[in-house]
Amino acid sequence: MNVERLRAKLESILQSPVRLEWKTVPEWNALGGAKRPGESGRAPAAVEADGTLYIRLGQSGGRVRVLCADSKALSESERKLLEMVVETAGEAEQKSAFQRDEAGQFIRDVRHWIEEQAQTGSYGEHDPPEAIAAYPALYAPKVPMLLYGEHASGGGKQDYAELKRLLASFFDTDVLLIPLLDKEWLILAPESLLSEADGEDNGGESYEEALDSLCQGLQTMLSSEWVGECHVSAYYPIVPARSLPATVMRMRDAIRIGRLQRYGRYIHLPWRMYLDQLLHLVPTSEKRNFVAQVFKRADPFLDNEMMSTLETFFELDCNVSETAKRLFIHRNTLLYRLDKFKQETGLDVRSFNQAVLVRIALQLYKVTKRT
Amino acid sequence: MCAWSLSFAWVKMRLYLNFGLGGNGMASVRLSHIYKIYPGSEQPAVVDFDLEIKDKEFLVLVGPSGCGKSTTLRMIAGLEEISKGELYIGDRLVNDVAPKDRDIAMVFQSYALYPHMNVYQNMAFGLKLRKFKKAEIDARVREAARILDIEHLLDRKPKALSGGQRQRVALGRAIVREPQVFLMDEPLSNLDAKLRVQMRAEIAKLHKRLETTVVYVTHDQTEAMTMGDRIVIMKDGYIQQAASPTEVYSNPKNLFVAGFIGSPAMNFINGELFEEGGNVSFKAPGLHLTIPEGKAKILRDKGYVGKEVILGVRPEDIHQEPIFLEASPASVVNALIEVAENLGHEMYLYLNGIGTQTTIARVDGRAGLTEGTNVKLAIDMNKIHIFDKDTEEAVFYNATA
Repeated sequence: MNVERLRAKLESILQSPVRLEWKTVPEWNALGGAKRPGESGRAPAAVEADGTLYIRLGQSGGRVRVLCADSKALSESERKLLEMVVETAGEAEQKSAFQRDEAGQFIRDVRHWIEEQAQTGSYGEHDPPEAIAAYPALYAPKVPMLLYGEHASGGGKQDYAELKRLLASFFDTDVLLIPLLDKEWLILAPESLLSEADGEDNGGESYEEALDSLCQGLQTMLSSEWVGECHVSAYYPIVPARSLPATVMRMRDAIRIGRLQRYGRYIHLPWRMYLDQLLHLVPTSEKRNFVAQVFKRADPFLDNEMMSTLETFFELDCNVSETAKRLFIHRNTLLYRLDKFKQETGLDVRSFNQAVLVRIALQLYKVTKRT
Repeated sequence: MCAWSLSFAWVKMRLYLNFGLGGNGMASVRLSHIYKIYPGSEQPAVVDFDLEIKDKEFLVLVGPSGCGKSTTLRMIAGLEEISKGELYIGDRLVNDVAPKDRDIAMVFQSYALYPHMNVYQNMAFGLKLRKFKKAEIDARVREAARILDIEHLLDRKPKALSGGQRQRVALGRAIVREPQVFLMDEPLSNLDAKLRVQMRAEIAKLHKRLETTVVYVTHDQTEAMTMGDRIVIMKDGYIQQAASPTEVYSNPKNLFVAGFIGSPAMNFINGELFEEGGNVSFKAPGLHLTIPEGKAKILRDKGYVGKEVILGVRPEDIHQEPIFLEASPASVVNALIEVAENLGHEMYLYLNGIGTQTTIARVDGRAGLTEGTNVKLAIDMNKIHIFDKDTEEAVFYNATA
């Protein structure tokens, strides 16, 4: 139960101020919250004092949390309804506490397992530890996805619950959600999702294509319905109990390198990032040297327009017509820009070998400019 | 409590619960001195963007690629952090508000559909998340599908749709939300020409019907001119001019705006102004024009006489009709037709002999002019523009027009 949300809703419905307060147990008792001597049954859940109605929400560490409303602004029936709503919410909270404890233990175990494997650097397939072997859910094939919420607040309980609800609604099924590092979440979704995306003609789409469109959809949904832009990676379906840590590491690397080297992109699939991963291993000084050698003194010439032109050109496999279409420019304008680039650098990106050089240098240029 | 006040309270409560609205629901958007600076980048992507978008206004951001228009829209959406400045939606400062809490709906060119859901579910998802009743979701989805002509596709998965159909579903997903502000980034770019024209009209109609504020990014000046109540032209992260379509067309603030808006583009001719027999004249190779007195006074007052300037004239302001030639003897020019493009209702003449570059004139399609012949034309001097050669500002620009 989110008490702040409950308070805001009640305030909106009642059109009267509703506050949340903490009282010490003696203060609460002094207000009349204690069970009276000789009285049977439970202590009162609501008391009225000095024109304010106090309703007990719960107790923690010797303090009582109360919801306060102006009793004069409430009719008798509104008051009863208010008490009933708060009591029901409290009961639901107690009931879910047990389930939360169980889920919490599962999350702790999986997280511990992954981080332990990450520290040892042992990414092969191993028998899972005893704690993990106890979870049958990890023996069914799952689609692993890793999420990095750039603007997420850092994986608090509220974030977790909100994201879990959102994903359950999005996938229309229960998914396993495990918060890992700061702002990083692991999603394990049923494998059947991939065939659902494939539609009636069930065929023709590879795992890579199906995972790509699933990630695109998820990223779009999270951008507009959660905390804004987030980075998403995914991997082929796995049996988590066998290879989850290794898979998480692959996806984590893809997002880490993708965030550094693929600015403005949010889907980072490991099988599309072999070159990025290789270039990431090159020391910064070597990167700078390579860029300087390839571009010579054309550095200032690489303005936003030229960068986006070249990037789009490479993204579309050096196809002039498609690039011009994507950039909304005339084909001749594109050719003029490519010629201008050739004059400045001596490199003709319409030749395969020189295009490879420019493609690599451009990627390194962006990284070295930002570091 | 009487019935009307009960229903008002219900609407108010629902607005609050669904959209987190506590205010009066006005959907003006105010960008106050906004900057966007990417880490490691020397040039800011957006510079001092200061503009108020009025409630229910259809505002179009237009400019060449890399001008900052999409970045600006993404900042309004909450997908990009604002480096400096303040952004208000209604009265609420939203710099740190998550996209989902801004009561906006986005349709971006790159926006993906949810692949495991059919079209109906794709459109209904946002409403389902906001706990709308099933009947209302159904009504809204079907109405949007009708408007977008995708009723027959509601059961299909995105994979089975063409690019244009997907774009329409993405549009439908935003429409059903009925948000306070629509943000659209090239939403029609994947559609074919015919559908594009149709959808352009549909979006304009929808805007009038929903009475919603729309911020629309496009590279296409036809879209900008036909859809926008106001157009913001951007270049290198700066606003060049923000005004109505008529205003930016007829009263451009600078050389960039003059050249960017209009197709074929405005002709620019380098030349010099000088005093001649009590008149101000403009002289360039093959051109000797007398400036009308009203404009001449402004040029004299601002000290442009005796200086090099750029003269701008739109293709439709160069005439070949005999009646116009007779009436404007002081602005008649001779030119060679290099190319004549006949579009049926009009003809574009690519002319040699006026200034040093090719000049384009738009004349009647039935004028019967052919390539390689000489033609006599007259420039409508009341419609010319003069630009400062150094600052590229329009000398006759009237900010209050």
